[in-house]
Amino acid sequence: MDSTSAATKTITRAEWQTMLDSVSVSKSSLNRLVMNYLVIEGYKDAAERFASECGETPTVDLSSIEDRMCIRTAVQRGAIEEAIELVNDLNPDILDTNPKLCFQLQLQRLIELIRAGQIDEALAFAQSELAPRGEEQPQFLEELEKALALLAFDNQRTSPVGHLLDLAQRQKTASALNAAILASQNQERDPKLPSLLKMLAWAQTQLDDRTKYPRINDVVTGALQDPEESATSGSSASGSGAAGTSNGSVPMRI
Amino acid sequence: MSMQPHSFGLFRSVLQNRSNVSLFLEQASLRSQPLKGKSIPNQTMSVLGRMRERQKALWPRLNHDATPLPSAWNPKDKFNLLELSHNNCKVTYKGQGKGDTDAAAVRANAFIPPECGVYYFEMLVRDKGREGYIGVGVATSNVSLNRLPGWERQSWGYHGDDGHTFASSNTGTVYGPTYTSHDVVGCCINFVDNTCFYTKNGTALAVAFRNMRGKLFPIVGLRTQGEVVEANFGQDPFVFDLEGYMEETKAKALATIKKRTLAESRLFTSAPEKAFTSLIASYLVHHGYTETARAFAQDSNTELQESEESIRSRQHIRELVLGGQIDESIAAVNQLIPGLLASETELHFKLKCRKFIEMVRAGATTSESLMQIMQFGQELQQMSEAEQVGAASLKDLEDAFSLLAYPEPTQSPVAGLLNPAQREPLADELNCTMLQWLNLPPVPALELAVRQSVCVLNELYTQGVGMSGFVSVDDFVPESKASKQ
Repeated sequence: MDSTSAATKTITRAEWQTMLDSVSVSKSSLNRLVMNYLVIEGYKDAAERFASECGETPTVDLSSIEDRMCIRTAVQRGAIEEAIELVNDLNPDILDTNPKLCFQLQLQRLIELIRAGQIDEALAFAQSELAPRGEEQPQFLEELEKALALLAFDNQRTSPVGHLLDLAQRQKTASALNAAILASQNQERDPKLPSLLKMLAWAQTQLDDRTKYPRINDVVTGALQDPEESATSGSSASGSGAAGTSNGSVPMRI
Repeated sequence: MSMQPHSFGLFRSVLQNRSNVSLFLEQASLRSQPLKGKSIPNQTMSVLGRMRERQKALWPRLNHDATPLPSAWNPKDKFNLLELSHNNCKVTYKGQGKGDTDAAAVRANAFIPPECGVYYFEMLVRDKGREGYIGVGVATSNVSLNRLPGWERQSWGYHGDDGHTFASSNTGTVYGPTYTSHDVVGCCINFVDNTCFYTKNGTALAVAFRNMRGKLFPIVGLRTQGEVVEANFGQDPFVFDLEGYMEETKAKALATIKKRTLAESRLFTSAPEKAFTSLIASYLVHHGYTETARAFAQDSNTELQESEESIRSRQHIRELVLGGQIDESIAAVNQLIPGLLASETELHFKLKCRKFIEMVRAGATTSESLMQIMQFGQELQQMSEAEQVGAASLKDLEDAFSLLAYPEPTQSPVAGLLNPAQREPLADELNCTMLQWLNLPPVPALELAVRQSVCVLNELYTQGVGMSGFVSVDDFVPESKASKQ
């Protein structure tokens, strides 16, 4: 409690594992988390199948996902022009009132041209469509410069800006567009999962200041970092608690 | 603190007299009113019981036994010029009150646990006495009680005669209105941002202090004859809308978290968007939601970590176990992962025990079927010896056998074994083991993230981090339809 006298505490791997195992996580709450993600991110097919496979009812009428899903897949295929057309068919206000998103889409279009090796088109497009917007907004210009920097490298993928060519970049654009459509429909626009991870990141950062404990550094593997300085054995991968089979004495529930 | 009483003090107190007294009495008579949906049966409940109920309703996560909230002034922690009454909530000044050396204070009987997030107590000025040199606030345990709140280091106070605040100093700061007889003054500590503000007659005033730290006790100090105050630590409804303020604070805390960016969160080794899809995909694979996994993998450009065929087989095996078809499940496991059951003898034995239970469950309709059950039981017995299974497994075997001791197993004390729900943990264990044999994580990463979140939050709470009082994993998981009614 007293910030001055608090010596740094260490929680060992074994102690932490016991705590992790004692948490009771209900499968249905995880299922809801997944369903919420599928619905809001517009994975209609998956959401429908999930509803029938796990019995979790989706929170919205799945037919309303259809449009969003088409637009998402268009972006994920790299068909940006098509996606823009579809959004404007749905509601032209979405892009008209959102210059940042509009720029992000055009930038993605530029990246796709570069990916396809259509250098002349890419340059023409950058000059005619993107540069004027960049002049209005300095942060846009910076993004544009990064994308054009791709052209400076022989091996674009391994270049410092190579991440722009990742599929994750398309996914990012698709999610931003999806969120804008949901907002225009007055629907919940953010899935819970990213917020949950933000909370985990926040909580770990808070605890870092106070305690040495096994933290997660890569949420995709869930591997715990050893808190003891003398990091003995290498990474023994993820936690070993039996899933869902926690004992009866449970202080925490979700 | 000014030594000059305000000339208009009396006039104003007469003006406010009616409204505040009636407000307080009204609140007191409203004790039977439900507090935020939770009704408190007051007739039969003691003052202390009522306080406990209210405190539990306001601070549901707090461990009220391990870290009790203040519930009264502490008769052992007061200056001798003060007298306590009314369950130690009422404080009367008994000294001469001639000078500052006659100041007298009393601390509450517990410090405020910071993990409560927001703490609040109120005080009614019953009588401003001769001068109304009254101060209220918080202080640590070592602060002299021969001084008014705020005058010493580690002490913070708001004084009624001049409306000034004192933050560990003899010199006051212009802060708010004065207060006098019949006024209700509240003190609120916010451990999310370590600030303190006061309320007067239910209205919040500005932030009075920042950087509040340490083990803080509510404190009140009096200094002239006739001064009487009475504290409300929750035995009565507060005049101030504390629930509303707490909701607002929680909303702010959650918004702070949601505003964070994930890029530099030390939680990802690649783009966060990729991590989301990977978490979802591995979860679907883990639980064998084959069709969903395939559809999702296709639409999100995600690679599945296991072949569809393998996922489907695991799902099929799970269904067999859940359907009580143990022999079939064993055959399917042997086909999917030859050698697994031969090595995992305990698990194999558990499956066999389950088969035995399923046979009993099906019922011994003929003497022939009873013979079969007995025979299989003997087989199990031999297997337990040959494989040298552990104590837990032997206990399972014993329990299973004991089913046979009753003519009506479904009415027996061990009838629980026959419940089909008992198949689920076995199916889970088998699934985990298969995943390990397939070099896949035994717990899906999504679940690990949730478990980690719960534990880290819990640790923050234990260490008294104020904001953790307002953050729970539940806030980040969609509500179930059932809990929404």
